[in-house]
Amino acid sequence: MIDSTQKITAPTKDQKNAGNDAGAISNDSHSQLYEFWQRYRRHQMAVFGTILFIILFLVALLGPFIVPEPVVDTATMFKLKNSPPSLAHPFGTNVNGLDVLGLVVYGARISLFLSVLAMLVACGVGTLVGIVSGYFGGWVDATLMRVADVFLSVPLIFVLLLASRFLVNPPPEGGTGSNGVQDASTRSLILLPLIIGLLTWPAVSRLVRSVTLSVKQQEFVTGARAMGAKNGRIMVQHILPNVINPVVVAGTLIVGQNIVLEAFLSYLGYGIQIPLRSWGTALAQSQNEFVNGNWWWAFFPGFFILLTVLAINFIGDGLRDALDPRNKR
Amino acid sequence: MEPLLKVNNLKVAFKTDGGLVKAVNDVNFYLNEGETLGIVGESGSGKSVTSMAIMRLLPTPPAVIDSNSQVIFKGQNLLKLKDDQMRKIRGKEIAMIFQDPMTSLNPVLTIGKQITESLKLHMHLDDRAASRRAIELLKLVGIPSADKRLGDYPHQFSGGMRQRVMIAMAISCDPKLLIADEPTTALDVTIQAQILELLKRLRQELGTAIMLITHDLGVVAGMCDRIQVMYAGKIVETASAKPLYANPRMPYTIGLLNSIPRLDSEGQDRLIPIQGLPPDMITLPPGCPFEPRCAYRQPVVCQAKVPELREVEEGHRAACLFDITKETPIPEVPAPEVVATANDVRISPAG
Repeated sequence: MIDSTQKITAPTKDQKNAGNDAGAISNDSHSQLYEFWQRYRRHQMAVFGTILFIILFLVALLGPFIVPEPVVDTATMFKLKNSPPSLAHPFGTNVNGLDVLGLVVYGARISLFLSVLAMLVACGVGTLVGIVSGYFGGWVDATLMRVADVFLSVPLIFVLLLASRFLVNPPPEGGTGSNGVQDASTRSLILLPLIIGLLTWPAVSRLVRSVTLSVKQQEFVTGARAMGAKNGRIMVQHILPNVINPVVVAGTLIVGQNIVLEAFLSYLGYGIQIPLRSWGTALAQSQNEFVNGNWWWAFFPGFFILLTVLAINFIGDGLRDALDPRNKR
Repeated sequence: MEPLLKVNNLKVAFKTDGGLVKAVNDVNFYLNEGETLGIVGESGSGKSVTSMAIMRLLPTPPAVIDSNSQVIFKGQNLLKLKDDQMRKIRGKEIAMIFQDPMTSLNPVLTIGKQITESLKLHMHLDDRAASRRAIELLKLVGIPSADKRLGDYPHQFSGGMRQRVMIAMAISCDPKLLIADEPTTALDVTIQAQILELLKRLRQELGTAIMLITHDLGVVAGMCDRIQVMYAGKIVETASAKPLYANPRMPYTIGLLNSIPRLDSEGQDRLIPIQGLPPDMITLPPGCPFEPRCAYRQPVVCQAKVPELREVEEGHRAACLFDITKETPIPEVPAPEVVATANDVRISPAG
């Protein structure tokens, strides 16, 4: 009895290994998420990047509950000024006596939030424009792609100079004082991701358009039309799921770019406005003290930017390999 | 009785840089309810374009459908319908099965989602009712443990299984007409037979009319009530299945049948291929489009006149100026002179 059952089960195992041609494969690994995880796991750097990113995310999420907010305190400012890393201030302090650890922890929140928000704007607009453009083709495609070209050719600095009127803290005037400062900083938090997103969507839309062009040639799109589906339904139900993988990969890498971009803008003073703090504002003016021996002020925020971008790029690489249907066994 | 589908004077052309490609030239045919019609022809003969034109799935431009063309389905001209009216017919009244089951299912959606799509669209079923019906349909097309396979993705099915799923999707709303565009071409021979058997069974159970498009005369033989042969965008011969095989009257059909290997052929008969290539569809010859390849051709007559479909026997029509049968001897050297005089050429109006 036992022998015969073993004989029966043996070929089914072979069938599983043989792949799809056996017809009915009813193993329980059929969830796509599971298969994806199996492939993702093999990419060691991606797993490392994921763990690193989760830690950084937890720092941004929970850090502010542990580390006090860095506020300029005139009483202790001169005593603490430019003190090197110590037990009380593991990352040292800056020229204003602010704890660099505090700057990094509070900056993580804003930097990550802003970069992700800008990425969502870029991916949202880019996917919409890309699908519509690729699906309809013709003059719709031509118009949308020229609009994309216009957005691509606008220099970032030019837009920021225009936007700086709304972004940068107004010079203190008689009465408005701190209210104006508060307004400018919240405005910068919303406006900056919008500006970054609106300047980066053309790259996403070109990617999505090219994928859409190849997907719409496939027979299942004609099949959906033969079934009586409307254009909108075909785009949402049939094309969107097919373009989502490359968008996820591109989106991940865009977050990395955005973190660098935000740091660069805030460093120049066109980005996030104090009292909100990002990694870019934490770096601002640090170069003046760098020559005087205060390396920790610039090093720690910079190191965190490096770590985050590295982690995100590893994740992006892993996603690219794991989501690419050609890598399926 | 009024036929279910009647195609009158269908002309389809494609605008290209090289000129107007006349893919379908004045095609007329009908299909009764519950009937199976086979459309046979080689690549580029206009079979698929005809079916896509009926469904109005051709992108216009580049496709141009002649304004006098009519596709009468259940009394209404599909070519004149508004887009949203046409969408209600697609999938519900006329459904389609495509050639390649590998690409005609969306790889990122589950089978269940794809089958229930048209049920929700046309029958307005809710999720539970739709998936109940989907299980029924999968059982109907012979997929084992159907309820467990709704959540599977297309890559977990074999080619034959996918084609079964496609058929289940096509019959989900009980269409009156099923257009099968080369449904077995991408499958291996044993699966081919299974799929044809399935189509036959469904036709009996559901009473659906089937338009079976293929380039394989063997596929249509056991399956179809009537067969029409297309060449260069025209119907060149139409008859019931048996007479067409037993007594083909158009040199092209005779050529096609001669080029099929037969198990019962004695000795070492060589297969006789049809020489040459189909004509250039941009500049069609003024005479018979098959003339340059025809074994029986009489150049002077054949190049002068496009042969119309004419009745050669009861219910059997062929587009040839001469009365040619399988027994007609093939001339050794193509005759330079006119054998038949103009009076011998019988002409009957195409209908």
